[in-house]
Amino acid sequence: MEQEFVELVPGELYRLGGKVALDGRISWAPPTATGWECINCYLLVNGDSAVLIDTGIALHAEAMAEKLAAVLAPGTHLSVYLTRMEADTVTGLGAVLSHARVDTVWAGGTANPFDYFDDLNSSEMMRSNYQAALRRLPGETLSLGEDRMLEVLTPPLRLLNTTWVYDPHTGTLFTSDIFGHTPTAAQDAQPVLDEGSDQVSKEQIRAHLLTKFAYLDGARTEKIIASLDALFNERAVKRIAPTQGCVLNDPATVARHVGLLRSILQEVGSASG
Amino acid sequence: MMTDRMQEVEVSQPGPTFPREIVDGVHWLGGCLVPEVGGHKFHNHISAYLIKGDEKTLFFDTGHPAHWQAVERDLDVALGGRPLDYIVPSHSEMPHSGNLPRLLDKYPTSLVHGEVRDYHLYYPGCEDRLVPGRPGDELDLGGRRFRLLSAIIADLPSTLWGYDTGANVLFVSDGYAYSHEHEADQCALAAEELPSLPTPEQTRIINEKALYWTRFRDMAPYFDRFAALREELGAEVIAPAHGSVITDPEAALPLLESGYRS
Repeated sequence: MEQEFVELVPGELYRLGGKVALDGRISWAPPTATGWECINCYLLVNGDSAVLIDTGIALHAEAMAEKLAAVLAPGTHLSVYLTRMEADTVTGLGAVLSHARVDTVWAGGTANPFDYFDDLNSSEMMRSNYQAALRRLPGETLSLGEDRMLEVLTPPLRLLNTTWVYDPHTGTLFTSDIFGHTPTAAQDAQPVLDEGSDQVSKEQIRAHLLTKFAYLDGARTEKIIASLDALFNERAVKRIAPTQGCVLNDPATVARHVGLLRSILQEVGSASG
Repeated sequence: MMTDRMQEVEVSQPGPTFPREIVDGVHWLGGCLVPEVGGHKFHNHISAYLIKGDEKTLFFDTGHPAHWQAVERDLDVALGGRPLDYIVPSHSEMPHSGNLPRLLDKYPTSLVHGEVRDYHLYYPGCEDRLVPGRPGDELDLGGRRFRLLSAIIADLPSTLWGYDTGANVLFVSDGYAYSHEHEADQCALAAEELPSLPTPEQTRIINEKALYWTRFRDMAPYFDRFAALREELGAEVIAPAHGSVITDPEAALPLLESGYRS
C-alpha cells in the first residue's frame, strides 16, 4: 500500500515495508499489545548510489521490492546492509535480489559463526541466491557514493549479533530492533512519529523492551547506559529509524525516547545482576 | 546404554556418523560449521534430533540450511520409511528453524508444534501447518511423550526446550553450548567420547559470540533452576543444539557452567 512508502528526506531517505497485526502472534511484542507493528527497511540514496538497510519480512517482500525497483533510478548502484541475521531483517532479501540489481550485501561485525551471515545462499529462509555477506566492523564506514560515508556502530544494547548504522548527512540512526516500541493504532497510519503525534507511554516502552530483552530485568545495566549516553552524545541524531516500529522523526521525539529508554534501563537494573 | 558403547569407541579410529541413535529412540542429526575466528578454527555443532515413538515421530529443531543435504539424507535414514509427524523448532533463528520450509515441502502431512509465533511473517502460506503450543504441553508419540518446556538459558526469549520421557533426554537448544576441538570424524561423538570433556574456554567462546546477555547477569540462579529442572524430570542426557550430546551431566555441567562465569 502506498502509505507504506514514506519519503523521510526528499530524494535521499525512504522508508519501505509494511505492517502486521498485533494479534498475539508476534513474539517480540507484549502479548497484550494491540494495533499494528511496522516492519521497516530503509533506502538511502546519494546520486547513483543507494543502500537498502535491512529487507523486511517475506510477507511484505514482493510489494516492497517492486516499490524499491520503481523508485531506484536506472543504473543506481545498490547495496544491501543487514543489521541482524534474524528473519524480520533478511526474509525479504530474495525478493530484493529478484527485482533490483544488487552490487553487494553487507553485514556488520566480525566473523561470527552465530550470525550465519557467511552462507546466505544456503538459506531457504531467505530464498536468496547470494553468497557470503561482506563485513563491516563497528567503527568502520560504509560508502554511499564517493562523498558520503555511513558509520557502522556497536549498539549499546542487543540480543543477537547486531550493528547500527549512522548517516551523518541526514542525522539518521538506524537502530535495528531497539526503539521499536511504537505500534500504530490503524493499519493505514503513517509509520512515523513526531513531537505532535508521539503519545507512547513509558509503560508501553518498558513492556515492549522487556518482551524481547527480558534479560534486562535485574541485569547490570550501567555499562549499557554508559554506551547509550556516549553514542547519542557523540552524534547529532535527528531521527531514529528502527527495523520495527515507527520512525522517530524529529530531534525532540528522539530525545524523549532515548530519555525514557535510559530511565527504564536504570529502573530495571541491578548492581548484582 | 550409552556408557557401554562409549567405552568401546577408540578415538583414534573413525567414529560414528550422523544420524546416530544416541539413546533409544533419539537420533542425533546435523553437522558442524567450522568457522575461523582470530586465526583459530573450531567446530560448532548445529544439531537437530529425531524422536521416534511407537506411533508418531518428532523432529526437534531443523538443522542449519547449509546442512540441508545431509539433514534430508540422514532424516530419511533415521525415519526408516516412517512419516515425519511433528516439527518443533526451538526458536525462529536460522540454525534452528531455517530448514522449516524444506521440511514442510518434503513431509506434507507434518505439523509444526510449539512456539509458532512469527512464522506466518516469514513463511506466508504455512499458517494451516502451525499448531500453537505452550510450555507444559505434551505430544504423545506412543510409548513416550515429548514435553514442551520454557528455556532457562536461551538467546531469543521465545525459545522452547523439550523433554523426551522415553529416554529421559532434555533438549536445551542454545543452552549449555560449547565449541569443541576435534577431528572431522568426531562430530558425532558424545561429550564423554571426545578426547577430553568440554572445557570452560569452549563454553566461553560460544557465550562471547552468541549469548551476549550472559555478561550482564549473575548466572548462578539459572544454573540452580536448571539443576532443579533436571531433578524434577529425571533427565539423564542433555542434548544441546551447539555441542556434543552430554551423557554424563554430573561430569560435564560444572565445566560448562564455569565457562559462563569466566
